[in-house]
Amino acid sequence: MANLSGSWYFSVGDDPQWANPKTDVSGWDKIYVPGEWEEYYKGYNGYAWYRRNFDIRSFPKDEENLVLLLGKIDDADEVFVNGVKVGQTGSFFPDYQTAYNVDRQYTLPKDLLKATNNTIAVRVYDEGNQGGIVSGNKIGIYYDNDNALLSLNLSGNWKFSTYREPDVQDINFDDSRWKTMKVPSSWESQGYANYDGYGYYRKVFTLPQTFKDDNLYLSLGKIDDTDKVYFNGKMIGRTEDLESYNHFNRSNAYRMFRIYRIPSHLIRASNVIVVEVHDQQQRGGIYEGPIGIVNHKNAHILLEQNEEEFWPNSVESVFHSIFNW
Amino acid sequence: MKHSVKLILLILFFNTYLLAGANNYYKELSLQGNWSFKIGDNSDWSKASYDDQNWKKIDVPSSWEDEGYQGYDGYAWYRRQIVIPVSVKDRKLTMELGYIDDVDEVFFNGTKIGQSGSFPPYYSTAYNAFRAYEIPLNLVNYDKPNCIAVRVYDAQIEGGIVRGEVRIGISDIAIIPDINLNGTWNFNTGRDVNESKSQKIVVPGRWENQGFYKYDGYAVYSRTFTCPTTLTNKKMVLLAGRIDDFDQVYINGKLVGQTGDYENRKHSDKYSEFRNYFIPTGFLKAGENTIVIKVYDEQGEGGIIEGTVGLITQDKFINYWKTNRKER
Repeated sequence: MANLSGSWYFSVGDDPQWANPKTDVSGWDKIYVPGEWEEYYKGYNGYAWYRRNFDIRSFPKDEENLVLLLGKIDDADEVFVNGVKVGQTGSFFPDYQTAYNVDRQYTLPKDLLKATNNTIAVRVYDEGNQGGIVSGNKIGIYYDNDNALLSLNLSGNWKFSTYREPDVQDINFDDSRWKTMKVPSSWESQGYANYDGYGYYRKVFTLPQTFKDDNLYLSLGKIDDTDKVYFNGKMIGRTEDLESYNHFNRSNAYRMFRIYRIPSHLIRASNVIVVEVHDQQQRGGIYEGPIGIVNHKNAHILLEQNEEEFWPNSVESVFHSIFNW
Repeated sequence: MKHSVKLILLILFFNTYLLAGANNYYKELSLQGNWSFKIGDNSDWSKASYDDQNWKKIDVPSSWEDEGYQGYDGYAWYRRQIVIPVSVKDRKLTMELGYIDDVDEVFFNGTKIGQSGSFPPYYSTAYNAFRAYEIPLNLVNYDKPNCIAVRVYDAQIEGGIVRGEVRIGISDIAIIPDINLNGTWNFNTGRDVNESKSQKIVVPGRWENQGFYKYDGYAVYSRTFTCPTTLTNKKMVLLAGRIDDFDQVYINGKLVGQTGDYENRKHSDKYSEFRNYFIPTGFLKAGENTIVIKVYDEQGEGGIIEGTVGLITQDKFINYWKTNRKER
């Protein structure tokens, strides 16, 4: 683990060169992270960058599941490690979208990191009010407990469309015209600013033969708002609001952690998952992981680690008998 | 004569160059006391070079009815000079003129810097608006006399610079743009520029005080500006001031920045926020450019209300913020 809270280099303004570790920032100001930049820069709105270096000497050498946590950033950010973009939340002008209330979590590709002298650069845009890397209990690089439980990690690029097409469940369906969507991450942060309504995610993947004997589950993390999930053409789970749900209140389905059992007779060597998501308002899509295939022992642990403190009584979720076998 | 004027200015300066506590001013220069005064109306009276030696003196603030102009309604002008010491160079200067009955426009060294209310034939009073106008620092001659000229129109009862604090407040280090856009802009209500119907408006300033009393909804500010060749290859930042409530900014017809959702007008809480929009290298043309600021005001006061408006190089912008950062 590397704790990255503390002193960071900071500058107002915007320049893509600041992502480059070779750009000298020793003349920059230093401010404390986490905290709103207004503490030092009263009334400042607009772009600003954060930079610092870090070592990862203390990590196990073969560690694959590293996650960068940056807490809440107000309003939008993109993050570069050693000059390579590792993620973005919210979006920038001209499709500006705030994500001030989203906990930042970025998967770090292991081959990007060196033992020492890594550079992280965070570009932030604040539209108004408080700005910056404003809060977070954990700021730093951590071993990803959730992803480590997956038998097969399916996070990354999926195909996406806002139109339902008839043959989409077919393994041979041609989705090359569909957009590419990073999962998990809201669709607002990926070119669908202000889009509310239906979205269809599609993923084709192979499962090693050795998995077949396990009792397998599909983890889809958190989805905003409701979803229906199809595995090789059969619905394996859904989370939706009850009919009695009061339409004056916002749906609570977005808070629920999704984990659906995959009936073993559906599993083939080559498989297709289709997730139909309906978003009522604001953020939409599969926005938080882990995403992937998990065995039943780890499915339990995942649920325990991610369960909401309270169970919204307005939500009905068909979790497919994880507690009933 | 000239000598005694200097002496008076010097005395005024030492008497009034005090720490002001209550208003977040670091120092202030008083504008109370004797001003030159003349009833009537003449555009030459705005000029710094105009000789007002033969004008009457009047005590400010007070209604002109109490100063020997009983029953006078109509136009009158106030003029005076003020020395601004070079020791406050780079500080933000705000001219406060208290309450003026009914309408005024203010000239600093001959350039119009603000207006409240509107003059006939589209008369509307602003008698209950406190006057505070930012002085663009490019107009200031430090350690030398600067000319303030105030044109006042009174429709009825008492008239003039009648009451309240009358002074120049000196506050934080000012941000000094390379291209200053404070001053007179063209203004249309609605969503689009319509040159044949546009009216003049002073930026910054709430439009309620400039002839658009109680107006809410869409409005457009527009003007041209000249960009020197030396700035076209620089990263620039547009300081667009504090805007109430939503805005979209276009330079040469292209959107360069926006705050809030102008199209859908979902509720905005950004009316107290100052806008900084980042302009890429090569975006500005050498010579004449146009800027259009579209505003939607939900309710209450509206427009480009406060702040320095202009274009500054990103290097100077960064330096300004870094120099003025506060210790935690």
